[in-house]
Amino acid sequence: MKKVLLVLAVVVLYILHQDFWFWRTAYPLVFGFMPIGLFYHGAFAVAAALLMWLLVKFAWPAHLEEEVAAHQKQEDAAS
Amino acid sequence: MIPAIVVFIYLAIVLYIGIFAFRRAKGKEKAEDYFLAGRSIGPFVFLFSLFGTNMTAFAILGSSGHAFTNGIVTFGLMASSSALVIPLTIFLIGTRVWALGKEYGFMTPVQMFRDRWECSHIGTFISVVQAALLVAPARAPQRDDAGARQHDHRRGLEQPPGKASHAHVLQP
Repeated sequence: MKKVLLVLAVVVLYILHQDFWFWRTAYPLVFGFMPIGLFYHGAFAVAAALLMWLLVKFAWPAHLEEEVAAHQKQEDAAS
Repeated sequence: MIPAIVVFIYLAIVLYIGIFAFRRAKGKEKAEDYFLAGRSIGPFVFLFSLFGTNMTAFAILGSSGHAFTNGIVTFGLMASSSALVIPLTIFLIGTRVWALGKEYGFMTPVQMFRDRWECSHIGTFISVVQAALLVAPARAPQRDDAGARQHDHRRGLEQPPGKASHAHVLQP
């Protein structure tokens, strides 16, 4: 279930990046100076960082590290 | 004169780093130490190395030219897309490649491909493809520069490419 949600989050973020809604307009200005598209993509970058944090926390491929450690142990024992 | 001094100081620092690294690595001059720093690079150096690798002519000149002609959409096109794609690639592919490299002692991607398909000429094929892929983005800044200049010419503006006015930024 956790993996499905994470995959779904990646797909949603990918779709959200297809920013055709703010692509051709700079207005409204957020905080009175920042074009809405720039603010949107700044927020998107923060969301991407959060997603990566979730991926590393809940879906890190730890089995690869274990495999490598086991392989190195075997090599050390053989030499 | 000052730019020349700055360049020579920079070259002296690079030379010092080379001599320092050579002295430190004495006695263990293996290819692995040279190419991969003995597989000992921590997350901090890795992050900066990754950043430096991505700061290409296309990222610096091409994006400036693109932003000059198209406005703030360049941020979405280059920066925020990188925020998703690059970490995701490292997470999904980089970790697997790392494990294979550790297990089989690969130092370069070509070694991995060569071993995987048992084909000694795959390196030549990859270098040709990479050369073609490198030439295309390297030409992009020139195209964007030229595009910016044409755009200005039509608007009756005389402004060096890369120096976007607020009007350009706010009206993509």
